[in-house]
Amino acid sequence: MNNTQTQNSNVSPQQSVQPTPAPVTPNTQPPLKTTLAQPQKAPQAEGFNLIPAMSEEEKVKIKKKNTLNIGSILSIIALASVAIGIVGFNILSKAQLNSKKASLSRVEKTVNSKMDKIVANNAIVERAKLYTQVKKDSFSHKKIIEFFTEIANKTGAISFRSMDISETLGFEIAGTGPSLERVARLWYLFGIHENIKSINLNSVSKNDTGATFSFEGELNITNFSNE
Amino acid sequence: MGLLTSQSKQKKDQEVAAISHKLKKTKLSFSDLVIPIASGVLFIVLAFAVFIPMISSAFDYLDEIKETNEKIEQLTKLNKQLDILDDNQLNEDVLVSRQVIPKILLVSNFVYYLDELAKEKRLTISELSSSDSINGVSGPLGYTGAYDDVISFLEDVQSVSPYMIRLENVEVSARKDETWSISLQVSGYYILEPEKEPSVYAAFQPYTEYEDIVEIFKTKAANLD
Repeated sequence: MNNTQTQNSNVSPQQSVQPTPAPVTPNTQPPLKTTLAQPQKAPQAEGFNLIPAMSEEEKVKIKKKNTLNIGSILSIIALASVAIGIVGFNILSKAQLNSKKASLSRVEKTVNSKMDKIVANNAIVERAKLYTQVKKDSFSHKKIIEFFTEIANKTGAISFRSMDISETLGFEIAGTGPSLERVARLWYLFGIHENIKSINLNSVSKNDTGATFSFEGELNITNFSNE
Repeated sequence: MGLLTSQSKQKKDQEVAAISHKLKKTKLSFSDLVIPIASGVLFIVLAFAVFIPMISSAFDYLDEIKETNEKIEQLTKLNKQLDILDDNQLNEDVLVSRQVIPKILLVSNFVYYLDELAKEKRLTISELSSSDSINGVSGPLGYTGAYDDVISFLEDVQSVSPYMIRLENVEVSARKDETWSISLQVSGYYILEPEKEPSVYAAFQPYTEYEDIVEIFKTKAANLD
C-alpha cells in the first residue's frame, strides 16, 4: 500500500509549473485546464517533471524501509503489551489485597468489640485446664486409709500405728498384731489384692505382747482416683 | 530474426541482473535491526528494574491475599463461636471460676480457711505454715485429734474445699495418748491473669467444652459462701 503510494507520488509529483501556452496547431483545441495542485499525467502535454523517476534501487530501499518500520513497531508493541500486562497484574493484585484487608479490618473490629467475652471465656478455660491437670493424678487419701483399715479388720486384731502415703502412690504402713501368723495373713491379703501393685515386708518382730511389722509398697490408682 | 534473438537475450540478462541486484539490496543490515535490538535491550533493562520486582511483589500480594482470607475465615468462625456464648451465663460462670481458682490467693486467706476447717473438725494445730510458690501457696500442715476427725478433715480439704487444693506426702500416725496426728504438704492454686488483652488470632476454645468442670467449680463456690 505504502509502496504504491510512494510510486504514485514519484510518478506524479506536485510542483508549481507555469502554465505554458498551448501549442499552436491548425486545429483549434480547448486549452488545458491545469492548476498548481493537480497532478499531471506523465506523458501529458509539455510539462516538466523536475523530480527524476525513481530507480529500481531506490524503490527497493523504500520498500525495505517500510518493512523495517513495521518490525520495529511490532517490537515496541510487544514491549508495551508486556509492560501493560505486568503492571496491570500488579495493580489488580494490589487492589484485591486492599479489598481483602478492608474486609479483614471490618471483621477484626467486630471481634474486638467482643473482647470481654474472649477474656472471660479464656479465664474459665485456663482454670478448667489447671483443674484437669492437678486432678489428673490425684487420689483420695481417705479411700486408701479406709482400704488399709478394711484389710486389717479382715485379718483380725491388727492395728496400725502409722500410714505414710506419697504422691507417687508409694506407701509405708507400720502396726502391731497378736501373732506372726496374723501378720503373715495380712501380708498375704495385701499381696493378692488388686489395689496393691507391689508389697514388701520391711520388718517384723515378735515380743511378749505380740508382733510388730512394717510394710512398704505401691498402690494401684484405679480404685482411689478422685472423680 | 538473429537481431531479435540477441535483443531478447540482452533483455533477459538485464532482468536477471536487476533481480539479483534487488535481492542483494533486500538483505538485512545492522541498521535495520537497531530498533528491535534497542527494544530488546530496553525490555531486559525494564525486566530487571521494573518487571521482575513488580511480578515478585504481585506474587507477594497473592500470598498476602491467601493469608488474609485465612484470617477472615478464622475471625468469622471466632465471631460465630462468641455469638453462641450467652453473655449472662458467661459472666456468672467466670465469677464462679475465679472464686475457686482466684486471680491471686493470699497466704493469709488460705491459711485462715485451713485453720477454720480444722477447728470445725475439733483438731488441734501442731504445725501450719504457708508461702507463695509458682502459681500457688503451699506449706506443711500438722494437726492432731481423733481418728475419725482426722480422716474427715483429710476428705474435706481435698473434695469440699472451695479452693483447688493438692495434698502431698500425707502421714497419719497414732500417738501415745490414743489420738492421731496428721501431717501433710498442702498447695492451693491461683492463676495470674495477663493484663494485656489476648490476640484475636490466638487459638480459641469455648469454655462450654469444660461444662463438667464448671459444674464442679459451682459446687465448690457454693461451699465458700
